[in-house]
Order: sequence, then structure tokens, then C-alpha cells
Amino acid sequence: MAPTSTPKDSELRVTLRQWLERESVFRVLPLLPVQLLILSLLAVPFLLTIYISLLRWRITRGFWTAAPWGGVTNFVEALTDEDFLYAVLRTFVFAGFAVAFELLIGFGLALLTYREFRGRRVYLTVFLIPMMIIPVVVGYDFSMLLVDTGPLNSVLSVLTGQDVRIRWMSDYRTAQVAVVLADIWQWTPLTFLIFVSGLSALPPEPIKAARVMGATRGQVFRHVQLPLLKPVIVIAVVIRAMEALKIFDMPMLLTQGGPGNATETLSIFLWRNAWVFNKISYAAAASLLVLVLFSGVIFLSIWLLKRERAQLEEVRP
Amino acid sequence: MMRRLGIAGMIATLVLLAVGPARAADVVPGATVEERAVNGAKAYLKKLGVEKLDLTMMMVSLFAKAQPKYLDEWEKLTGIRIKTIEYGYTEIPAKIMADAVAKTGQYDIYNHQMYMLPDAVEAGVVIPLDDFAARGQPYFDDIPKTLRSEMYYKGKLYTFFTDGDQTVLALRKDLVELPQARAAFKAKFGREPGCPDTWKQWEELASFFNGKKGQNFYGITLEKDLYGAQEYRAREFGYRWWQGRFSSKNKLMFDRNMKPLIDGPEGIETTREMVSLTKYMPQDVFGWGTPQNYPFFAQGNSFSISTFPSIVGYANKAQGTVISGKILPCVVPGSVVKGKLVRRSVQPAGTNYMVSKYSKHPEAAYWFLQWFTGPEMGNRAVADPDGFWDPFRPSQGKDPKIAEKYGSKDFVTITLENARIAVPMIPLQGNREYFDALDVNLQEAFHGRIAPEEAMKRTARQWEKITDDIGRKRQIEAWKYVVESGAYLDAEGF
Repeated sequence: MAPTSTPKDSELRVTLRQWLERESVFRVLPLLPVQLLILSLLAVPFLLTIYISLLRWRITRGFWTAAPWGGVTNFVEALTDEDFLYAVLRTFVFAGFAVAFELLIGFGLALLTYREFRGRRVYLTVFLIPMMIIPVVVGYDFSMLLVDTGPLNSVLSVLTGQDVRIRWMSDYRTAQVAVVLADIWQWTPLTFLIFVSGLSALPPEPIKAARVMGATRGQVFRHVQLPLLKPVIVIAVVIRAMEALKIFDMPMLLTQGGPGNATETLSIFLWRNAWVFNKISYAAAASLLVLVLFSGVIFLSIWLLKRERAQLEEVRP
Repeated sequence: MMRRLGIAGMIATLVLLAVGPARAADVVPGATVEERAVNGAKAYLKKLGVEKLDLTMMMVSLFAKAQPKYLDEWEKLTGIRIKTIEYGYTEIPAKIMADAVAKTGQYDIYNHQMYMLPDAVEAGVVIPLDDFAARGQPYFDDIPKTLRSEMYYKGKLYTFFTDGDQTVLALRKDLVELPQARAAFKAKFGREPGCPDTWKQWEELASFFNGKKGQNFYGITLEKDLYGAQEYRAREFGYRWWQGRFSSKNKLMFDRNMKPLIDGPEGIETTREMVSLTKYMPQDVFGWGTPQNYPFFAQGNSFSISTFPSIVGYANKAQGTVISGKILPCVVPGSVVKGKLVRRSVQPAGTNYMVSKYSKHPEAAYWFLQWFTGPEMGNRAVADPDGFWDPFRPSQGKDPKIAEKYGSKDFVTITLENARIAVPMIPLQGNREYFDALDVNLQEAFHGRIAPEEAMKRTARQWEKITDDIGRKRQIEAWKYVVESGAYLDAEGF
């Protein structure tokens, strides 16, 4: 017997078809499976992290399903844990110094090389090399360079005419400097690359116009190039700040977070608690607090970026 | 006879007669520990009905050169092939713990260091080996009591080892024997220079045997700066040496309720002694591990070093050494406690082998452990110039190949004495958290940022918190087993 359709069915089919043909629906529907997949990939671990942070789970206490409920204990402990709070502070100080120097040096180098000149490509290549080296290799190289009887102290001895014996990796203050130095050496090329691209892409007309009107090089730079570069600077700050706040490899390779806790950054703190002390729940709670903190930084950066773009749109003809 | 035994004795005799043969029948045949292991492995394969079997070992990368030849030999003997997956020793604890969560069954054997055992057991990732051992009859009787205790956790056998790794003190014999130096030292300290009995005497030696480049040092001109001492002061190292020194005060680190005893006079004195000796060390020592300490000593830069036993073989044979044949190995110094000299070494590492709970063939894995760490095979491994396994069984003192490896028979005798008095590093769950707290506070003291008293007070406070967090009751139970097993010999405080 052939299937029959009632008027009600055909009415429903028409409605469904009309609904599917609506642009707002059609635009979203094909992407929905992928969106759901991504959401589940992100949401499941995230929700699990929240749940685990509310337990009192150490790996040495069996599987997490058997761990006792801890409520907000881990969060309270983290917020009153000196080591955690110092790790937060230390990380922001590291990132602050490292990013500031990377921006300054990167910008300076970009100003020297953004115009065409003979051998420019060689300079560009050389300046970009550090960024392409694997961090482990950079860490190892720096640990060799910074040995107390190593090349850096030898060079400083020759330059100063004195026997310089700076304990780069074993003194509380200099170890922090050493970590920042290594980070600056490796990541200045990234800011350099961003600035070279930004400077090269600046529209020539406003610069030419300013020159025609008698502006000096300094005035052109201050009143024309720099304002136009603001979005690029913000991008460089955001990218480098986000990376620098996650710093792990350099302090780990150079000092293992020492001496004492002098170079223990947030990433090392979290790693140590999770995988050395097996305190998974505590590490989960601390990482969620870090997430909240970093989200604040990221939202601030995005807001800055948007504001700069808006201002730039206003001045553009 | 029957009357003397009484009814209870008769019953016991009957039970023994009944059970004894059955037990004896369970024991795998073989004249030696190794033979029984091979026969046990073959019998296991026969039971499975296969001729070959593959196992996997998570292995410390330091043994990448030495271990494979023994694995090949085992395969030829039994048909069991053991693949290795290598990691640095600092990475392995996290890998084992990850396996405890993921339960992959990828590994049959874990190779790491003795202090890893309590966490591995509590995480349920390794199995007790007592039942296998009852059939294989391994031989532990000649292993020093302190080291043997580390093979057990809460009374059960979990791990085998073939590496003493206890600390040793080495002096520069050529400098000690300088006639003018001997006379001057005796005039100053009232005794001949040589192996020190106490930590204080070592510091006296360090204060005497040091000088600047170009200086005339009791008849010889120093070609480079000479430092008085080397001992680990870097993060991840210093706390290990502290535990040996503290144990020589004959005090336990915890009492029976897990209250830390390290903030008492013994702990403060230990830290003070370590801080004080640091002034005779190169300033670089704060960042040095073994790869830096060994060559520095071998290149003739310092008078003395407290480190692993392999320093003697290294300083005698390494390329570029300038002190070959000029080393005076010593039993570690100690402390005078109640009029008695107490010397304690520590086992800062100690390569061990454990069987994974998730192994599909734990019995096959067990037989390898028994074979490789047995008295004969163990001696071969210790004698292996490619390996980092150090002596700990008395029989190893008579082995000419082991003496050849270290370049000195006297040294082997001395390191065996150090093995006899080598205590473990806190063999409790969460020990790396206890270590870290001690490590960080010691670092602060070594750098002069806080006083030794404060360092110990802070550490004790943190240890209390760690104990409470892990569970005081379960730590008390485990600590009781440790102390009663003789791990710390006759130390007081329980």
C-alpha cells in the first residue's frame, strides 16, 4: 500500500522547509555539528577540571571517582598559599620585564631594518633565527653561557678588566635576570617581525604629506608613524604577554625554579603540584584561579585593541 | 620427646609436616637465584603455551647503554623480550603516576629510584611481589638492613634493586700526603690529616686544604684555585645530603605521631654544619648537579667531595682527569652522640625495578627482576663499566672486576661500609612534597637569607601540613613499618 500524506503533514513539511530556507537558520545549521564537537571537546575537560577542583584528590588516593568532596577548600588554600601568590607575582614581574624589553629592542631593530637597503634580507634572517630554535636548545645554550666560569662572565671580565664572577643561575636575583634574559633573546625576534611588518605596511601618503609640510624625521615618527602603529603595538603586547605569562621552559631548564623558589613561575608551580606532589585537585583549583586572572588580562587587551582600532578608523580619511 | 613438646608442639609439627612439602614443591627448581628465575620464566611460558613473549620496561635513560645487553641475554635464556622506553629520571615519576590514572598496561616494568616506591604503591600502580618471591626464593640476606627495608612498603615486598648508590666522601690523597702539610695540619689541629671521623673534622680539613692559584702550598705551587670541599647545594640535590647528615645525629625525622623532629637541636646543627662548609666551596656549587661536580673534582679544583660512589671510577679514569690514583675514599663522617660516633650515609637515588599492576604478564616481569638483581647477575651489573649500578652486597667487595671498575679495591671495601650505614630518604607517601619543603628552606639557609633555626622551623611546619593533608593516620602506620624495619638503624625519637 502506497504511503499517504494528510494535509497536516504537508503543511508541516512546508513550514520546516520555510524555516530551513530562512537565511539566519541556513547560515548556522551546517556549522552546528562542528560547533557542538568543539564545544564538547572544550566543555567536557573544563567541567571536569571544575569538578576535580572541588574534590580532595591526590593520585596516591586512587582514582578521582573515589576522591572525597572538598568543596572550595582547594580554592581557599590556594588563595592563602604564599607559594602560589608569590608565583603569580613573580610571573607577572617576569612577563612585565621580558615583554617591555622585547618590545623596545624589537621596535628598535625594526626601525633600523624596515626600509630597503643592501643586505637587508641577511639582517632579517639573522634577527629571526633565535625564534626558530627549540626552547630546550635555547635553555641548554644559556645554561652553558651563564655558567659562573662561562663565556658571559669571561666577556664581562675582559670588558671591565676585573674578574667578574656573577652567579647567574644560583643567586636569587641574578637567576631571575637570567631567565628574563633568555626569554628576551628568544622572543625579541617575534616583536621585531610584527613591527617590521607593521612599519612596512604603513601608508606612505601621510608620511610624505608630513615631510612636504616640513616635519622632521622625529616629528614624522612621533606624530604620524607611532599613532598609526598603535594597533600593531597592542597586538605585539597581547601576543607576547599571553605567551610570557605561561613561561615554563626557560626557568625549568635554567634553574628548575630555584634557587629556593626564586624562579618558580605559575606554570612550574602548577606542574609541581600536579605531577610532582600528585595534588591534582589542588592544582586544578589553582589553575582555575589563574584562568580567571589571565582572562582579565586578555579581556583588557582585547578592549585596548578595539579602542585603538576605533580611534584609527576615526582619523582615517 | 613427645612429652617435652606438649600438645601444641605436636600440632605444630604435624602442620609443618603437612604443609612443608607442599610449600617446597611450590619453589621453582634451581641452584641459584638466577637459575630459579630463568626456570620460573620458562615454566610460565610453558603454562601459557608460547615460546616467546614481549614485555616493556619504562627505563631511566642513564642505563640506555648498559641495560640492553642484559635484556638480550634474558631473551636468549628465556624467550622473553623486554623492550625499553627511555625517559630522564626526573620525568619518570610523572609517567608512572599518569599510568596509575590512565591504566594503559603499556608498561610491565618500571625502572626508577627507591624513593618512588611509596607513591607508586599508594597510587595502586605496582603490585606486591611476595607470592612470586615465595616461589623464586630470591636472596636478600646479605643486603644491608637499611637498604633492604626500602624494598618493602607496609611490610610487603614491592621492588628489587641492584644499586647501592650511597654517598661517599673522597679526599685528595696527594695533598693529604704532602709532608709539610701534614706537619702544619697536625700542629694546628692536633691530629694527622686523613679521612675525618666527624663533620666538624671534614670542615677543618676543608679550611686547611684550600688556596689561591700561584700560592705556594706546603711545598707545591697551586696551578689553579684549590677549594676545600664540594657537596651538593643545588636545588633538587642539597636536601638528599642533608638527610644523611641528619641521620648521623641518630635522630628520626618524625616521632611516632608523625610530628617532625627536624626543628630540634639536631636538625638545626645539621643545617648549620652544611651552611658553614659552604664557604669552602666554589660559589658555582649552588647550581651544580653531578655533571658539573664530577669534572670539577676530577680536574683537580677541589680537595674533597661528598657524592655518589661512581666519583672514584670517574676521577680515576675519565678523560681529562688530573687526579687519577690520587683519591682517598672515606667512610662518610658522622657525629658524636652520647659519647659514641654515629656515621650515616644516605641513598640519594638507588636504581630499582617494580612490576606494573596493569601488566598482562606480571609473573614474567617478576622473573626478570629476580634474575637481573640476583647476587651473581647483580655483581656483573655493578662491575659493568657502562653502568651506574654501585656496590652494596659484601660479596661485591671480593669481585676483582668491580675493583677494576672503580680502580681501587680499598674503595669498594669503603663503599660497602657506607652501604651498611646508608639510610633511605623518607620512604613515605608524598615524600617528594616533604623533600621540596626541606629543599626550598635549605636553599634559603644556604644562601644566608634565613637562619638555620628558621629554615628548620618552617620545614617542620610545612611537613605537619603535608602529613595532615595526606592523612596522618595512614602516614603514622607507614612510618611505624619504616622504623620497625630498621631503616634508620637505632635512631631515637620514635
